[in-house]
Amino acid sequence: MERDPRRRGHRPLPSSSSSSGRTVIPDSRSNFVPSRRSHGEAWNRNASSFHSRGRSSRNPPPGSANSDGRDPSGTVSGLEEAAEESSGDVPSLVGTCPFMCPASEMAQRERLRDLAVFERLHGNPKKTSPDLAVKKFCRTISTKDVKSSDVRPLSVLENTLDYLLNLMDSSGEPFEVVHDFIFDRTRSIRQDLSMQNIVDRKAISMFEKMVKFHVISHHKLQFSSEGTHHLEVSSSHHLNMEQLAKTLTSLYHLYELNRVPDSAFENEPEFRSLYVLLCLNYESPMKGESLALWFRHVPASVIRSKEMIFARTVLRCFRFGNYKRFLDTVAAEASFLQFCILESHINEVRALAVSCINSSGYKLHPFSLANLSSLLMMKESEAESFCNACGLEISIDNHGNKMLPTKQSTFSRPKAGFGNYGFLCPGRTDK
Amino acid sequence: MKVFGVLAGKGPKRVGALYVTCQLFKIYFKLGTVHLCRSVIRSIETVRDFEEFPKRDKVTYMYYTGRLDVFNENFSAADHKLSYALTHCNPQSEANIRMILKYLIPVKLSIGILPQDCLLQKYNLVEYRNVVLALRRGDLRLLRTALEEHEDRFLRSGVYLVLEKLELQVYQRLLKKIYIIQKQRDPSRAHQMKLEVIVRALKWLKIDMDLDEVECIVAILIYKNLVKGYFAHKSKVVVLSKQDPFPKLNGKPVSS
Repeated sequence: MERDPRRRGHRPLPSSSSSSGRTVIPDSRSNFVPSRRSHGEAWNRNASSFHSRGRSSRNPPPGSANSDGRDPSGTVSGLEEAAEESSGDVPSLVGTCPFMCPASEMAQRERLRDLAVFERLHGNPKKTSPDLAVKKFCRTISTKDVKSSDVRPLSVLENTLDYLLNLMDSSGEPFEVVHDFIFDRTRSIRQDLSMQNIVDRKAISMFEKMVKFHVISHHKLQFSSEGTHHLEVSSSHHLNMEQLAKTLTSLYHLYELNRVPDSAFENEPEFRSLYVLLCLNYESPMKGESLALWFRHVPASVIRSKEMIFARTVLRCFRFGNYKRFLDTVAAEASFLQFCILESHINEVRALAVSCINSSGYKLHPFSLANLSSLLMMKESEAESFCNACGLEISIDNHGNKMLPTKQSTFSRPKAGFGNYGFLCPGRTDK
Repeated sequence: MKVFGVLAGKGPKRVGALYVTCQLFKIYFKLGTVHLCRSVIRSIETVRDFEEFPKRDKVTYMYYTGRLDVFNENFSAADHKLSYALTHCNPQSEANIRMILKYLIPVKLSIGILPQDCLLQKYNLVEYRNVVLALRRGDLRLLRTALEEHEDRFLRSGVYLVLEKLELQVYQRLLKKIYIIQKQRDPSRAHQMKLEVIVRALKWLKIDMDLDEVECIVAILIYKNLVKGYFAHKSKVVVLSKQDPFPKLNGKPVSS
């Protein structure tokens, strides 16, 4: 697991073992009192220490958290003081590695033949080049032993990320292979960012891209788990969700850190809405906070944004059981990213609809399959196999129409999960 | 936490453990790190003689843990804990009663128990007035505007999602009202309700909903046992059971 200072920053009882930075939570910022104590104590006493590290870096990236003029409350001077004070004894890590992969790691991996397909020069498993090799993710206990030549500065990280995301579309390899590679290398990018405490707007944009990668992967890995690599793929599906949850949480912390009062970032509404969509049912991958608590600290402007209103409508319909409006709203309004997250819930809602119709419908009036399929937004043939998967039989009436007889006692949710069914959006062509 | 560790052990000092626990809760709620409460709760729950702690600490403890149950939508548990806090707290302390009611009322509403209007008045919880009125009247529009009006407040206190779920009960009440009117007109056919009538009632409330969605809502109400009967898809009618067509929740949450 990568060390993520943003997560640790939220613990109210800091442990002294942390050697990398911890972040400020907005509440504690206003209470910040510059400490005149020795560094070690100051470290444990306030959660703001990362600011001092940020400021003491020799090349603060342009547009960084400190230079964009936020925090007009007068605490800035306090932070500066603390920064000067601690800059002497806190070695702040500034990466100097000019390549996507440090030279030493490149040499070592060539020797060990530890090169991913994408890193091999002309397919040679023991030869790579600076244009191909990308730093692997590796757990580190402390930033103390990390050499600055092994850490990439922001600009290199940005290029590395773009290079990796390009592989998504342009590589001929199967998606699972591409995913494995990008999954690992982006993790390493996040590690480099957190080791250097890069928390500015550029970091936001990088985290947004990485969240996007995990969301799209969620969509692509979802239904490919039926082939020969079943176990492997479903485990990478699971790991992908885990990293998605973590990256998303980090992204929200970055939004908070860079917040100018009463404003939201351009993409914030959509990325915030993903949290709600991930929490639709109670087995949320977002561990820790229930949705009721989470809503408490989302800015009002985001709550009322179009994207969030969509997510809240979908949430309400899902929990209420209003399958009709749920499917209609998803079909009409979901963005691509939102759809990728919702996709797995669509069949769940369809099963609820079938179950409701089966148990609440009049026994002598079977439900026509044509109506059912348009209600569930799927092809008639798929609706039939969906009903069969739910243990229900389809009959044919006197006029030759296919019907779903109600009050069948055999309804059951498919145990092995739902298969891959299409989702027809009338009037939309982008999906 | 260290103090808690010492006190939670055996010996006469143990009665102080609950006090420290409550102080920790207070801090965690302020900091927004309520997930940290879990480990403290676990060690309190293992205590066999909970009743021996001082009363005021018990009340505070039940108040905070009840709130946690509200956030996690465990309504039965929340009802139990907050009711305990209410019955045992100092009846003179209006501010505390108000704090408890702020969370207990939404919980009670969700299990079908409505408060008297004078209670809301007395403790200045008027933000719930229209919500309660909407439930009494089956007025979906009123519920929605009440939620919208106090959206910020409800979201910040964490009860918004609980209140939003009341919609199902409002639909139940609306159907019941229609049923009562039909019964006055023609008792022999009152148990047959045209979906079109529900659509019109909603339109009168300025809520636009088509037949398919109304059918879906009726199906859900039947499925969740808020209405007894069945719907006939072909003739677009819901046929209500002649016995107890609108079962009361009677203190149980709506089945999911």
